[in-house]
This record gives sequence, structure tokens and C-alpha cells, in this order.
Amino acid sequence: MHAVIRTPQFLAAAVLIYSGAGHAALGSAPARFEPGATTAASSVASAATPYTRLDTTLPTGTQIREYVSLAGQVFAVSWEGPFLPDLQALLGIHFETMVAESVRTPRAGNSQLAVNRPDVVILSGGHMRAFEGRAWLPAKLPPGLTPSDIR
Amino acid sequence: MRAAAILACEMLISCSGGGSDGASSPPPAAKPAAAVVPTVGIALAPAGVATGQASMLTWSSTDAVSCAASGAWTGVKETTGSVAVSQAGVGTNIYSLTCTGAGGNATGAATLATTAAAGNAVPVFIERGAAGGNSLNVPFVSVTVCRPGTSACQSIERVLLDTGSYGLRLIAPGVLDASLVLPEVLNARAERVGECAQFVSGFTWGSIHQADVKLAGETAAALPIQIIGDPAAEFTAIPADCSSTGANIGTVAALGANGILGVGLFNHDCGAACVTRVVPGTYYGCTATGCTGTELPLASQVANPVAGFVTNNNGVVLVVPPVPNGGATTLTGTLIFGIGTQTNNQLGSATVYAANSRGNFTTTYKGVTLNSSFLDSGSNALFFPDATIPVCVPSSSFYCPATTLSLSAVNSSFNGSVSRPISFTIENPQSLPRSIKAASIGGGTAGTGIRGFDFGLPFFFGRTVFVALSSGGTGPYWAY
Repeated sequence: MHAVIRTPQFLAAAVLIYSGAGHAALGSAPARFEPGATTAASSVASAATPYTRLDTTLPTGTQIREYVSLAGQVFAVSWEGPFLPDLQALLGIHFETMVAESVRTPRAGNSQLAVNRPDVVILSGGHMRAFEGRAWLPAKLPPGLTPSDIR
Repeated sequence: MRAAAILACEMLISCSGGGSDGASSPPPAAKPAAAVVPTVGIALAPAGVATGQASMLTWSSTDAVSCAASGAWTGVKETTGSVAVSQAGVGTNIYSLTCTGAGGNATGAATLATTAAAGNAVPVFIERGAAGGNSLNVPFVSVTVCRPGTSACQSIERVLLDTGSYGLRLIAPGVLDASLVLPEVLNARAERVGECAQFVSGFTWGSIHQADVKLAGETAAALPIQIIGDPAAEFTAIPADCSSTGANIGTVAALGANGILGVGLFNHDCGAACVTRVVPGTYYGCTATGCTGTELPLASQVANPVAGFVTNNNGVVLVVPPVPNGGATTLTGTLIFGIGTQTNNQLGSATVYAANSRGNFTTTYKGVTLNSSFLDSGSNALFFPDATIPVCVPSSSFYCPATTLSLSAVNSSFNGSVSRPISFTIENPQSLPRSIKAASIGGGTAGTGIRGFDFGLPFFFGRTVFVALSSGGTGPYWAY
């Protein structure tokens, strides 16, 4: 179900089941998802700076990944599934950036959405019943981790 | 299709100012200074269409400096060009073109025969979106909605044709006539049903009502549709778990359309997931005290009108004429209902790309496998990841290449049973004049991450694309 973390220095394969807390919003402290969501956490020491990855499956089937620094700050997120997650909770203060980008470019229907700023990158795509997206804070990515590693 | 061949003079109505074979005849030696007589060639493909359907009119000339149209079209024309034309009435339409040069003038003509439209087809008008007119490649259809079982009806134009969603959504303020009094859909608690419909670019919020939905000769009776922006008191407050999915695009200004006609691969916008449990940000039971999430049976969910037709209900075919490099100032396609049910919707030699349960197939682009790919008339560009193409400023969702790019990819059915290469071009949207309504443009995602190739409207240019419903027996699949 979860993608394999392809790092030889996979440090602590501790997989925890979170009980509600421990979810996080991009660039800030923990947020929450709907009841019934299950989360597995993996500590990753692949890069010079270790981080934790939280893999959450919502009851709707949508899967969320959050990449959390040792200091507890989320520096990247991704989502994939039949329904959009609570993007306000997931993107935190950057949700408004995404909304502003959508509003700024009126468009009929469901084109892709891309915010590409120095402080935050947000990509949202897919279609009704099959959404996907990811977002990250370029300045906060640990050394050795690239945007293409955010899956 | 667009080969602008110089046609022989047999095609011409008249060749004045010189010999009857025009430029192919060398000038007489006695008149060394005589200018060469122009020639003009003009042709329609196809030469016969149904009313509202498009035919490509292509013309070219030699030794001419200007051309003027007459007959079924008017105005000054370039000396070479092409344009999609359509006619609303049944009959014979003569497109004449007179081109003038130093050596005289020549007139050519082509005839378009229009016959009564099929009962299973409607025209698709590709325009700039209503909102500021900035969005290229927006396909619009007209939809008629009626109070079920009555002749109280309204025809609504500029409804976005969307193969990437499911169901009909119409905007209430300023568009839908409230005097239709469409019946309300209720949930098991006898509460009025509200819906948050999720799109990538935002959500539409509104109520669910029943309507007879009519397109060409087809009717989906008492079909649940979404009334976006329903002013009724129960729906004035947008639920928090709806607005947390994105921007509110539920106005004509934000959407750039009067509604959305979703004719994609599935029958319902939510489906089985919403029948037995509450899915946040989808369906709600709404009362005077507000809205709370609700389960909803399939029969009450917003449904794809095509699946509700009595006949020709297993999918749609979208036919769009080709668009030349540099774009088109007018473009009209055809939406045909049914696949393999009539003479005008046969699959023929089209390749079938089976889709997975999410409606996706696989595209391989520059060595990267994108297994969440789909064909989406409601996306106005080809959206795919490519870090080598510069993005536009400030519209970072679109590519702005320095020169037009010729690219290719390989499309495969989701299970790998068939693979075929495709080629496409990406033009710079910022170099296109405001008169252009359709052009092959692209967009991307900073070259990273997204696992789907979103084949938006430019993919449909010059193609006949089949969208086969999951309920149709052999679907879900895309074919072209």
C-alpha cells in the first residue's frame, strides 16, 4: 500500500498508528483529519537531515503523505484519491495561496492548478473521482531530498 | 486535411483576366510585362454535414494580394487560410472567394450541403471562457431543462462540455429561471439535499433538483442535477468541509460558463462511496439550521444525463475539426450520443484504451510513466509535467515556450493491452492574438510529480474521441 522508502540508510522502521494527533499542516504545527483516518509513521534518515513521513489513509480512500522535520514542521505534503482531502488543514496558511491562484485565473471546469513561488509550490491535478496533488516549501526541503522524492 | 493544395481551374467558377487555365499557362511572349493572373482554390471537407456541425473550409491563391468572401461568408480574407464553418439551416450554402492581384482576379467557390441534424447530436462551440474572455479552448453546448413531465422548459447556452466530470450543474443566479420550480431531491431524513461538487480548480455548491434534461432528440427524465448557488435559505451557508477543498467557482464569472455538462466515463458524480457513508465535502442534508453530511442513494445523486437517455445511452463521441498552427478564430465540433448505436457513432478503426476504476489510462512521456492520465474536454490545455518547458508569467499553470514545440508520447490502456504513440504541439498562449479561440496550448506542474497527463481540449482537435460509460457493457474506455 505504501511506497517503499528507497534509502539504504533507512534508520528506524518504526511504524506507529497515530490516534488523531500527529497530523500536520504545511509549514506549521499539527492539524487533524476526519475521524476514522489511519496513519502510519516512518522515520527516514536518508538525507543529511532525518525526517518523518506520515502516511494517512482517509475513510474515503484518499491517501495523504506528510513529510515532517525533526522539529515537527511539515515541509511537504501529497494527496491522491477519489475525493479531495481537507486542503485547508493540509496546506495550512498556504491554502489561501492556492485559492488565490484559482480565483486569479478564471477557467471553466477543472484544469490543473500550479502555484510556483519561492516560498511554496502547490500542484493540483486530476479530475472528479481521481484527484492528486502535492505541495512543498522549497527552502525547507532537507538536503538530499528533491521535489521528485515527494510522492 | 488542411493541405492547402493549389486547385486546378476546373474548381473555379471563373478565371478572369487571362486564359482559362490561369497560372498554369505561360504568359504570351507578345506581352512580356503582363502580370500573372491570380488563381484561387477553395474546398470544404466534408462537403456535407448536419446543421450545426462543422466543416473545414480551406482556401489558397496564387499571385493575389487580397481576397474577399461572399455568399455564405463575408469579409476580407487572407490569401491562404482555413476556418471551420457551420450552418444552422438546412440547404445549400455557397462559399465564394474572389482574390485580386496585379494581373486581375479569380473567383472560387465551394458548396456545403446541410441536412437535418441527427437526433443524437448537438453542436459544440469552442469559445473563450465568459470570465474576462481569457480562457482559450472552452467547449460550450446548449442544454434544455424542463420541469419533469411538463413543457415548462428553459434552454441554457454556454454550458461547459466536460468529459472529466459526471452530471449536469447549472448556475442559479442570472441563469436558471426560478419559475421552472424544479422538484427538490430529499434524503432519507426528508431534508433537502445540498452538494459540494469537487473540481481541481475549486468547488461548486448548491442544491439537488430533478429535471428532464434534453439534448438533441434525447431526454433523461427526472434526472438529479445540481443547482449551483441556489438562493434558498437552507443553502446560504457553505459547509466548512466544502470550502476547505478549494476556491468557490460557483458563479458565471468564476466558472466562465453557465454550467457544466459532465459526460465522462461514470454514471454518478460520487457513486457507491456516498450511498452507505458520509463523504466529507460531497452531499449534505440541509435544513433551516444548516447542512450536515448525508448518505445518498444512487438514484438521488447527480447523474450523467447520457446514462439516463432511453437510447444512445452507452457513451458519447466528440468530434472536433483540426486547428492549424497559430490557432483558430472559430471552431465548432459535434457531440454525438451513443457508441455503435447509429450510423454516426460507429467505433470504426478507433483504438480502444481501457480505463481503470478511476477513469484513467497510462501515458509515457519522455521516459516517465504517468498512470493517471485522462481525456478532459473541460481542461483547456494539455497538462503534463516537463521541467524543460518555461512556464508563463504570471500564469504559472501554463507553458510559454519560446517557439512552438512538437512533442510526442505513448498512450496505453491501463492494463497495457494496447499502446500507441501520439504527437502534439505546444504553442505559446501569450503570442496568440485575442481573436484566437482555440489553439494547442499546454500547461504543467513545474515539471515534477503529477502522475497524470491531462489531455485537455487541444487533444480533441482533428480527432473523433469516444467516451464509453462504465455502465455501457464494454466501458469504461476512451477510444480515438
